[in-house]
Amino acid sequence: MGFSIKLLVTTSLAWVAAVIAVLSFSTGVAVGVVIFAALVNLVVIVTDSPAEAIADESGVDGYKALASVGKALQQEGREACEAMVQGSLNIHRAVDDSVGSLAASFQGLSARGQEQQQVMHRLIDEISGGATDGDGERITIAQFAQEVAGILDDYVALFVDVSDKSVSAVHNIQDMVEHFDGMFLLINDIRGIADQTNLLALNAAIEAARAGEAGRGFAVVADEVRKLSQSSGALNDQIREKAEVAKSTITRVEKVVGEIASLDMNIAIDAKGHLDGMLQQLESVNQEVSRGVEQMANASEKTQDDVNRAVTALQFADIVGQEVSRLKDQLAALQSVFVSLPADLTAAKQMDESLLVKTIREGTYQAPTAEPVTTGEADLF
Amino acid sequence: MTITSKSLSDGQCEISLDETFDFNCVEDFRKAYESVDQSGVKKFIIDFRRTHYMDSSALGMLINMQKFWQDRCSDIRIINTNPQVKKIFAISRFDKKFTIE
Repeated sequence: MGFSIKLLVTTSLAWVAAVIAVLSFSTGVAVGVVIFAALVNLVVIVTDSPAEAIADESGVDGYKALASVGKALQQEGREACEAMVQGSLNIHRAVDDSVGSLAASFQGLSARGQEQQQVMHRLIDEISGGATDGDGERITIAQFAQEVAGILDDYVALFVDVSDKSVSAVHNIQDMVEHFDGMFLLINDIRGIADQTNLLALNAAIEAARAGEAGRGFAVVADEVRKLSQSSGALNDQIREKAEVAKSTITRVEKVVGEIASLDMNIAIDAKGHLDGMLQQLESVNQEVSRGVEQMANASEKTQDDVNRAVTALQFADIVGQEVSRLKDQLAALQSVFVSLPADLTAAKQMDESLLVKTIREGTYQAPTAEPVTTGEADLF
Repeated sequence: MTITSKSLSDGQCEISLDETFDFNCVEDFRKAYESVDQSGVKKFIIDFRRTHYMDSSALGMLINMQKFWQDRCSDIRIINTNPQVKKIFAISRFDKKFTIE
């Protein structure tokens, strides 16, 4: 029986060592629970075994062996508990630190994401022309296209107006040329009258000569009339000359006006074609950019959701903290049990075993009931 | 270069243009629409069947014609225009001033 108790205690010590090993590797709470339960069982078995029975079978040697085992158990158990308490503190601190820096990272990520999203939305608004922020008008591509098309229309209207007035001017010039031609006919008539007057004066001179001395005075008059008709003819020639210059000048004006009026409209057609093409291209680029920015904004929103989920998940730290703290309390209880183990036989006899058992049993692990937050907007730590 | 005008029944007058309708036609075109009987005509038809080129002075001539007739006859139809000519009319918004077919 003494051998079997010894074996039991030795096995228990191995378990304590395993607890230290396990906890120092920061493994799960469950392993700690198992070990704790085993320790409780050990103590219960030892205390439940009647000392009288042991003494009867093994005598004084048995007591000595038991006392030695008990001492070792007390010593090792206390140290193991201390180490485990320290280990749990380390776990708590490590988790807290990591979670803290993770939270800060996520906070940064979230802020950056929101910033990015805002920029995207502003870009979308700007491109689609949906927003003005009070600092004046924003020109969208569509408005730009409209403006340019309007300007082109104005130009074409100007061409048409110029042509209209030029053609009207040409009509007037042609009318004027017609009047000039009429004037030339009149000038010809005047020329004929002058020639006839000249002839008449010549006849008068002949008749005056035939009249002899009596016609001398009349001959002077006839000569004067002939001179007048000659100068009238010369004047007529001058008028014709001037009128011809005027006519040729007006014809040149007609030609110039014609040049003004005759613009090749194909230039306007080509310009309009080019413009339409460019605007179409611009519009498609604009739509492409708009789509891209919208996709980016969506992606950014999804990232934000992911970050929020990650932040929610970080609440595991709370649970771990609670678990570790519970574990620590239980280890402390166990440690107090080890400390209060009787030092010698006399003390053992006086010891209230039920109190010992109660302390350990009350320290028995109970799973926490807290549940992690899974839904809703997660606040950052 | 010939621009001919002939009176049809029902007070219609048809003016047929030449291959090009530009500044050189100003005099002929004016004669074509001014020489018709001003009291009888109700409707003008300008035939672009042969015309493959026109410049901006053509537009000026048409507007001058419209002004000349506006008190007596405002119905001027332009027919048989080729695509290029039609484009010019569209760009210059003539499709709002005339009936273009």
